[in-house]
Amino acid sequence: MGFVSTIAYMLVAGFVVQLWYRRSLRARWKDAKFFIGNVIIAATWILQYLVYIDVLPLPAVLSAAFPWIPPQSGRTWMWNSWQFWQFGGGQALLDIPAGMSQVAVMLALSYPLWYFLGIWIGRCAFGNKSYQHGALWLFSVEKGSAPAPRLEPGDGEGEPEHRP
Amino acid sequence: MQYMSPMPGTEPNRRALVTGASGHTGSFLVNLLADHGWHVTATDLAQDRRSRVITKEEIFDVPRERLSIDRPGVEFIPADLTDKETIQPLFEGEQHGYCTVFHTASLYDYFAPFELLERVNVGGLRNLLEACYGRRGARKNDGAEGPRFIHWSTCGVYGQPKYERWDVPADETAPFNPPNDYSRTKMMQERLLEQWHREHGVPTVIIRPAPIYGPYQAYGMFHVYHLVRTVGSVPVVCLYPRSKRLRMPMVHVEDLVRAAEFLADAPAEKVVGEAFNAIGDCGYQEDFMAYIAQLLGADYSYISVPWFVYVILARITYRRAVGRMKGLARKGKRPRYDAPMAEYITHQYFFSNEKIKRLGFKYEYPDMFVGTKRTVDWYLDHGWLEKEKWEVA
Repeated sequence: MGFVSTIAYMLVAGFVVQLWYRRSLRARWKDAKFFIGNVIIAATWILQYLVYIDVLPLPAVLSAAFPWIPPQSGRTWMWNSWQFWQFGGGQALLDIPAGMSQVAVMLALSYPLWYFLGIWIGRCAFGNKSYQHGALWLFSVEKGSAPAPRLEPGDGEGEPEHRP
Repeated sequence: MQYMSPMPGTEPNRRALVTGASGHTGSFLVNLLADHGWHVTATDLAQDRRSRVITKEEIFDVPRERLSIDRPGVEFIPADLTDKETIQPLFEGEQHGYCTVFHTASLYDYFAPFELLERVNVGGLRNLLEACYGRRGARKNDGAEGPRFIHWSTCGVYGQPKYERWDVPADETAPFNPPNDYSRTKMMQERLLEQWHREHGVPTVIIRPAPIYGPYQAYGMFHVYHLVRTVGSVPVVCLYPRSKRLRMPMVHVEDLVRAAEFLADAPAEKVVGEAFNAIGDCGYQEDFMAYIAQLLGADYSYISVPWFVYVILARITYRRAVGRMKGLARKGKRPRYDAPMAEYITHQYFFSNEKIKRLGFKYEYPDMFVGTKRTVDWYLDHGWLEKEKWEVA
């Protein structure tokens, strides 16, 4: 939920939405992934803003639930959300230098890019249209493979020989 | 003087034997000849035997649709070229006195083991020559020659020639250097024919087609269309230096069969004992990939790569494809894409079509764009390439 970790969440969100879109959404609603993307990004911005200005007491809730997260302000939490994954390790808070608010805005504005990068990676991996299966299809296990050519039983059982 | 093909319907009654008539090229050839008034004896394996050998048509779940050769003027006699007894009926009786034999039959399958390829392609040709001309060869007592023998080879016999300049195509005099087992057996066929021509006077004409494309084709170029359609994204590789761009040799099946008929009609002194490339004007691979990506609704992105980086990556890709094919073969499976198809990404195959054009032959699909568009449209209309679910509904 922090400014930096949200970049990774956006990538994953784009990737997952693309998979969902390719599998079923596209048949029902062609622009679904753009709508879902708008909703995810807008909701993230609103939530982050509310946490940042301490309207949503997210750090306090997390601190109560996970003892290795110390109590802190929303502004500090937004730069230290990696603590969530630290499981009792070093708990030092970072000093938030002046000017980080501008950096935060820049990071937040880049979320759509990361979401669409996730979409693009998903597109390459799974395809986009209903007839596409993406690059992962090349590595999928081949089912019902055609047999080797043979004239008589026993023909064609040798391994094919290929000279590059 | 340039030779002009007579207008269809104005020729005297001509008889032709077409081997491999149920195959892709064979079926187009039979129909063209029948359209032009030839009496055609068509032969191929009986269906049960054919389906055991031509397993490449089962790789993808596509409609088993073939161009029909069941029409007036066409007589079908099943035969197996590896079995001499089944070939004899093709040459019995007056109605089987051919003026031309079109030998399109061969096992074109990169996955087939060499022994099988040799047995069908080389052994089958030898049996056919012996049945057609007898052991004594083509010259009869009256001095007349037997039928003209139009033989299907492949541009693959050249492999990648040593180019004097990268942008100058190799012609029919390029030495043989076949890169895979199939092309190796085609080279052996050509040497056998050369021997029969030299020693027995068989009037041979050899066609060396580039990869063939066109409707009904289920192997070869179809794999490229299928791959792009299914994967859905294509990295179009732009090579630097630009002088190293790779070519895309291909020929439309209709041009190929027209070329065969043209060579059957051409004056003997100009074509007998000769070989002719049948190939459109070679475009560039990157243009071709960008074009089919557009036709097939796939994403494409241009990636600029220096030549040496491309060569290293392409060779790794090719080696991996060979390794994967061997691995699957050990498990008793055949891959969706046979590794030798990937040779085009590692080699420059750039061949001249001037020799046949100098005789007066004109290609209907000289560049790759019009023919490719029509072919892709055909595959989409006939359900060989998937459409969006709602388009089908």
